[in-house]
Amino acid sequence: MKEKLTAWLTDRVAACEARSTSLAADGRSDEAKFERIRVNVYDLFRTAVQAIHRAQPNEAAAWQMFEQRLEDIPAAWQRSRDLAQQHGDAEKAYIERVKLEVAEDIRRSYEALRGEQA
Amino acid sequence: MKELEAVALFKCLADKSRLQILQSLALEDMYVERLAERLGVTPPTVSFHLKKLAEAGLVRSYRTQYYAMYTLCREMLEARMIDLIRQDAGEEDMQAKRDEAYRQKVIAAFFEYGKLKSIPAQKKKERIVLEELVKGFEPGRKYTEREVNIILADAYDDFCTLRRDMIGEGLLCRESGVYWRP
Repeated sequence: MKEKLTAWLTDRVAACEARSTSLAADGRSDEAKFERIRVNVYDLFRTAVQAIHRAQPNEAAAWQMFEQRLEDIPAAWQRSRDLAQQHGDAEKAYIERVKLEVAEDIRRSYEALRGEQA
Repeated sequence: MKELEAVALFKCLADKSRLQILQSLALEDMYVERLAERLGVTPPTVSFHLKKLAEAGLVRSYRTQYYAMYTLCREMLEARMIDLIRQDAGEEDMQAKRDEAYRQKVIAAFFEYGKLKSIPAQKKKERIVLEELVKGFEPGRKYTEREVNIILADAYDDFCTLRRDMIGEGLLCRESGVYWRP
């Protein structure tokens, strides 16, 4: 499960990096920047999987901690997005939206892998 | 056009997606979903680009029965390049503009939606932050310490440090527990 999720996250990092490079080369600097943000979010959760499993040898407890991260981290982005929208900060609101979409993608993939394992 | 506005305009135009949006709008006015379909990107991405184009004065929106339509600001697009880059200001004005740009950069880095994120460690930056905060006080009006605390606490939890530093910088005066902005 850990290896499968890590491999999936690594694939996503590579795909977004490739898209970012291609968008930058095509003169679409802002969209390239959004792909870099996606790379960072996938990479953040990939690091979290590794760090949690190093700190917590019990498999079930480790996944519980990971699920908690999947709740807590996007909750902060949601708050930041709400605040940005309240203040008419369209760029920041859009960046937070991108991060939330990636977090949702990771959550769906994680749940699918759990389903496969059950 | 001011130098900073010209820089913002050229930065805005230096993006292929935004140029394609302008090309589409040159044909006819369009709504977000239609532009997204033409460009092959998501509607939120188009909205993001339209916001930037609107800020640069290149497009504006108007409402129809069903949609918010976007249209080109032709007066801006028909302006001559020489008019956009012409600078009438002398060196003194240029320096003032550079100072103001630096000031805005510091304010953007240390404030978020009117709240101070942290007190800058660098003296020059702290001075800028304090000058920004002192705008919350009417010049000449007398304030009690409690009133000063309430105003500063709105921006930052450690209002005591801010109050003390404002006195130290001469941005606020204090005598017998009464404060005022000189």
